[in-house]
Amino acid sequence: MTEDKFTQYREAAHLAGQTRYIPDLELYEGTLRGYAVSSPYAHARLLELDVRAALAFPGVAAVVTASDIPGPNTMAPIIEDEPCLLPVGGICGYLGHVVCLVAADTLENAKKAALLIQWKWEVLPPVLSVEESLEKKLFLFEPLHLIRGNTPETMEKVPFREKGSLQAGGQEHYYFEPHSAYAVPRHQGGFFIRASTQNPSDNQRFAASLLQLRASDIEVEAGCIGGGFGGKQAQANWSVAWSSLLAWKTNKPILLILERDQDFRISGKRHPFKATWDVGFDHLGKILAIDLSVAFDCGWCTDVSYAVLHHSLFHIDGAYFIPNLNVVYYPCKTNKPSNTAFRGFGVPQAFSIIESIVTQIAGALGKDPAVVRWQNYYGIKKNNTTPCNMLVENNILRTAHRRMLEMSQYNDLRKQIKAFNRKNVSIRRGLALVPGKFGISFNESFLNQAGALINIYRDGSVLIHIPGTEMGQGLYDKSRTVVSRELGVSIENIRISDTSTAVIPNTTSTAASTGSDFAGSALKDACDKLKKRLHPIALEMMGLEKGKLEWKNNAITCKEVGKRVTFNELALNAYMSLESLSEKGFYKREGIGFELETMEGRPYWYYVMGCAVTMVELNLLTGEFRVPDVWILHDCGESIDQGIDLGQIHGAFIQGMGWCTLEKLITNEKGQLLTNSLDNYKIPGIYELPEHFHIRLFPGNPEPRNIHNSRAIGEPPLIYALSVWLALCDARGKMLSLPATREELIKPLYNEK
Amino acid sequence: MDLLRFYLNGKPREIDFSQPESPPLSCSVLHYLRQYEKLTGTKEVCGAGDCGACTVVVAHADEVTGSEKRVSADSCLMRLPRLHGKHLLTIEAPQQLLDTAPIREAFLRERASQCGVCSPGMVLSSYIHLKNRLPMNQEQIRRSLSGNLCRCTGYQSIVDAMISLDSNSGIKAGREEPLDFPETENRMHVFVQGNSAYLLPLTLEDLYAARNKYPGARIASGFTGSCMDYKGPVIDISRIRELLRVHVSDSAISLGAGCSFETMKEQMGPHFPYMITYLDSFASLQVRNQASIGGNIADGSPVGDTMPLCLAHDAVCVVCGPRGTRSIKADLFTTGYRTVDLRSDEVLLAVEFPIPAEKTYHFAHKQSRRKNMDISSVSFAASVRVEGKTCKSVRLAYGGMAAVPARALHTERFLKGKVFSRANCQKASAWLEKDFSPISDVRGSAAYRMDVAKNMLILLYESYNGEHDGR
Repeated sequence: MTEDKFTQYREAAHLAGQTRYIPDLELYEGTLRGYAVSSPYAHARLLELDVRAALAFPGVAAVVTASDIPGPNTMAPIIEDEPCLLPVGGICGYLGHVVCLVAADTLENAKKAALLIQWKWEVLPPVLSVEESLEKKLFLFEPLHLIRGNTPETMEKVPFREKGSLQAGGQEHYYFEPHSAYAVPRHQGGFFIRASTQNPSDNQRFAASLLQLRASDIEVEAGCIGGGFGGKQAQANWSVAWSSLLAWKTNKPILLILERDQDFRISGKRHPFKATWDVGFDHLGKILAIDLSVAFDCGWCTDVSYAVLHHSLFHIDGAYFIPNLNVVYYPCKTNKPSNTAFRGFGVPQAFSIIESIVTQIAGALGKDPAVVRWQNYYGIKKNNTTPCNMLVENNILRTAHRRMLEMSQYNDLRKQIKAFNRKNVSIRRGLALVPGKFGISFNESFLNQAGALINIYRDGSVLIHIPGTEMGQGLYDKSRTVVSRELGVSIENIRISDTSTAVIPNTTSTAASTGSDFAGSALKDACDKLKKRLHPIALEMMGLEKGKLEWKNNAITCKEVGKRVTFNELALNAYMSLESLSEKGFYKREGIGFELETMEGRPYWYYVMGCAVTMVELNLLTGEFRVPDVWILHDCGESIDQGIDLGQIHGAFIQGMGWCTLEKLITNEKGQLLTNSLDNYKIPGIYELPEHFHIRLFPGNPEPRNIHNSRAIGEPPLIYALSVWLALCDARGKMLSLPATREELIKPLYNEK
Repeated sequence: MDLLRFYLNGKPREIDFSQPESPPLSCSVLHYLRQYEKLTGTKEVCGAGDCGACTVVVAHADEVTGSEKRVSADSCLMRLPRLHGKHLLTIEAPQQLLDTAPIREAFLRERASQCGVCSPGMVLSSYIHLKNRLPMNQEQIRRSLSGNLCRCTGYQSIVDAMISLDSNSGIKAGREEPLDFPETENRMHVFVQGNSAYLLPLTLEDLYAARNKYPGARIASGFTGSCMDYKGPVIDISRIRELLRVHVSDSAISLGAGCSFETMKEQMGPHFPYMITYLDSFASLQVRNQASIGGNIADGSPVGDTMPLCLAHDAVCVVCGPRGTRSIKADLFTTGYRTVDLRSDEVLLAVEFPIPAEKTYHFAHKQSRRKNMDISSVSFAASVRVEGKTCKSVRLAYGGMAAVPARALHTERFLKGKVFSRANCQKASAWLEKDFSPISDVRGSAAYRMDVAKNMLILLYESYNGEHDGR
C-alpha cells in the first residue's frame, strides 16, 4: 500500500493519531474554557443563586444563569419538560442538573470559581427506583398501551399459564470522546459550533432559539466524532447550547468539554426497566396470550424517552406472532439522569423480555427453548402481521433459524453439553439461540427525510456532503462507495466533507441505524440528476445524438459504438459548456407512521433479521465464564461494505454483552452515581471477545426498498448479545436479571453435597 | 537544581522547571504532550490508567549492556520528570524511530479502527508486541492488548489485524535507527519548582539525604497509585539500585521492592508458574511495567493483590533506613487500614519469598467484576502441604475481606491435620465466618464476598486435585 492510498481513508488518520476530535482542535487565540455547574442534590428546589463571587474570581469572563438566556429556556426535544439551565425557583431533577455556566481563561479557574457560587436549596426526598416511581404513578407522559385480540378472555381458556418478571440495569455509553463543543462567534453575527454530535440540525435549532437567533445564524459542524452510540443524539444539544451561550455572553470562542466523571454524572444512559407478565400457551409452547406490564426508568425528564418507549413497544413481539397481547409501558420519572437513546433504542429491552418469556415457557414444558422459538415465529403466508398490524415481509426467521441449527450443530452441541454438565460439579456449560428482528425507520414520519449535495469540480474530482455524522460506524465510507458506484468514479476520487448544517439543512439525527439508508438514498438521487444532466454533453463529446451510456471505471462509455470519454474530460467539458456540476439530492420515506389511539400502522420501512447461538462455560465457584463459540447469521441484504458491516456486528455484540454481563451502574441513596469512572464501571476488554466468533451474512435476500438493496446494520446485531445472557441462564439453571455479573452468576457450592 | 533531559521522537528536550512558562512538576506526560508539545495523537479518555488510549513508548538504555529497551506506559499515569534520561516515542514519531506502518496498514485492511480514539494507543501496544517478537496467537495478542479498551470494534478486527502480521516480518530489523539518549550524570537529580521538588535518588544514601532535605516528601515508585495529583515534594525511588536487586538462592527469592510486576513475573514465574496468570490479571501491561511490588505492599491497601501472595508464602518484608535493616514477617507488616510497619525514615527494601523445602501446592485467584484491569472484590492466595492425604500445613490469605489483607486463621486451624478433601474444604468454609466480616461496597456486597471466599476453598481443592486450572 502506498502512503498516498493509505491516507485516502479516515481510519488511516485515526491510526496515525492525526484525527482531531474536539479536545484536539487547534484553537483561536483568546479561546476560553466553558464549565457547567451542577446541582449537588438529586431532588431540590433552588431558592437562591448568587454568582457574584464566582464572577469576581481571577480569569473568569462570564457566568451565565437561566435568567441570562435571551430566548425561551428550553431544550426539550419532544415534551416541554427540560430547561437548558435550572432557574431560581425551579426543582432540580437529578444530581448533576446544570444550574449555571462559567467561562474562564482555564478550566482550573472556571472550576475554582464554580466553588464560590452561593446557593440555597430546599432539599426534597428523591425517587430513585422504578418501583417507587411506578407506585407513586410519577409518569412523564401517558402510559402506552398495545392491545391485540382478547387477552383476558383467552387467558381463561389457555392450557398452560406462567407468571414471571425481569429486571435490567442501564448502560453508560462510554463514547471515548466525551460531550464537547467549540463555539466561535462570527464577526458578522451568529455562531459557528464544531461539536461531537449525532444531531447537528437539532443542536442548531436549540442554540438559535436559546439565543433568540434564526437557524441560519448558527452553523453546527461535526467531523469524525469519537463514538456516539445514541448518547449524542439528543444530549449533544447540551454542549452546543452551553458553549454557544457562553460564546454569546463573552463574545469569545468557548471550548466546552465535559470531564469524564461529569459526563458520567450528567448524561443519560440506556433505560433500566422492570417487567412483569402473565403468559398463556399450549402444549407445543405456542404463545396464546401475554399480559405484560413494563416500567421504564426514564430519569428526570422525557428527553427522547417518548420515542424509545414506542420503539420498544413495537418490538415487544420479538420475532413471534402473538395472537393476544395486552401490553402497557409506564414512563417512570426518577431523580436520575434522563435516560436516552442507546444503540437499540428500547429494542434490546423488549427482546430481553420476550426471550425471557419464551425461555420460561420452554422450562415449564421441559422443552429446548429453540424448539419453542420455532413454534412461535412469524409465518410467511399466515400469522404474518405484527400487533400494530404491519406485514412482516421478506421473512427469513425460520430459514435463518434452520441454517443456524446447522451452522452451530445445535442439537449435537446440546447433547455434548448435557454430558459435560453431568460430569462436572463446578463447571457448567450453557447454550442459547436468539433470533433478531429489528424495524428500520423513525416512527415519527417527518423524521424520515434526508438531503445530500454533490459537487464535481472542473478537474473531475468529487466532493460529497451528507446529512449524517460519522461516529465510527463507517457512514462516510459507505457514502463514498454509493457515489463511486453510481458515477463510476473510483473511491479515491471522492472526498467527503465534514457534516454541516450550512450545507445540508434540516437533517434528522444520525440514529435508528438509518445513516447509510438516508445518506445513500439522497446521494443516489443527486447522482441520478447529475447523470441525466451530463448525459447529452457526454453524447455530444462522442459525436452521438443518442445512445445508452455506461458510467464505469472513471469513464462514460457508449458500448454500442465503442466510444468513451473520461469522467475528468466530461467534467471539464460540462464546465466549459456552462453546465452546473453541483447537484442536491433528496430522499423521503412516505407512509411511515402509526395511529396514536390504536397503535396501528406501519412504523417501519423494513425489518432486519437474523439468528445467533452462543455457548458459554461458567465456573459456578467464581461466576467467571468463557465464551468458546458464538455463531451469528445476519441479513444485511446486499451489503454495501462487508468489512464495515462485520465490524458493526462484532461491535454491537460485544457492547450488548457489556450490558448483559458486565456493566453495572450503582447509585447511592442520595442519588449519587457511584460508578463514575472506568475504575469502577467495567466495559468489555479484549478478554471478553468470544474465543471463536463465527459470523456469516445471510445470502440472497436483497432489500429492494433500500439503497443498493442493502439493509441497515448499526443496532440490530446488538440483540444477539442476549444469547450470552440466556446461555448463562441455561448454565446456571435459572433466569438471571441483567446484567448477569459474577455476583449474580456465582453459586455457593460450599453447602452442596 | 537540575534540568530535565530527555528525547521526544528523536529530538532532545531540556526543561528548566524554575522558568515561569515551564510545565508544573506534577504534570503528566499526557498533559505535557497535548498542552506543551501540541501533540494530540496521544488521546485522553479515562485519565486514570484504565483504558490505554494514552499509551506511549518509553525507551531507556540498559545500565549494564547499554542496549535500548522499549516498554509501553500509560502517559496519564506518568509524571514528566520520570522521563529523565529516557527517550519518549509517541504515535507521531518518525517511521525510522518507531516503525508502526505495517501495523497501521494491517489495522486499516481489517477495518480495526472505527471511531478511532483508541487507535493510536492500540497501535502502540501492538507495536510493543511485535517489537518483542511475541507469538502471533490469540492468547498472546489478548495479553498484549488487554490494557487497551475499545468501545466500537468488539476487538475481533484488531485481533485479525494482528494475526495477519507475521511476527518476524512485522518490525523489520534495520528499519529502525538506534535511539539517542541524553547524557545524564550518574548522581541524584533534583528538579525544583517553587516550594515543590521532584527528587530522583539513585542509591539509598541519596534517599536518606533527600528525605532529610524534604521531610514529609511523598515517596513513590511507579506512580500508578494515588500520587498523580499530589503537588508537594516527591521522591521518586524507582531508580534506587538497591531496590531493584533480585537475588535467588536455594532457599529464597528476594525481590527488590522497586521491581515492577513484569519483573516479578519474569523472576517468580520459573519457580512458581501459578503466579503468572495471577499477576497477568493485575491492572494492564502498561501499568505492570511501571508499578512496583513495593508500592502495592507498602500502600497497605485491603485490596492490594500482592500481599495475599506474601502471606500465603510466609514472605518476609525487609525494610531499611539510616538506622539499619529490619526483617518483618508479612503477617505483621500491614498494621491496619492502609498502615504498615514502616518508620518515617524507612522504606521497604525487598520481599523475600522462601522456597519451601517440602513439596507445597500454591494457588491464587483474583475475583473482580472483569477478569482483567479491575480492582478485586476478593483476592485469594493459598499454600498447602499435603502428605499422603493429610493436610500438614496450610496458609490461606485473603484480600478484600477485612481492613487489611489477612490470613483465615480459624479456617487454617480447622483444615490442618485433616484429610485434604472436597468435603473438608466445604466444612472449613464455615470457619471463614469467624475469620472475616467483609463490607459491602461498589465492588460487591458482603454476602457476595463471603460466598466467593468460601467457594475459594473448593476452587483450591479442585485445582489441587487437577480438576481444572483454577481459571
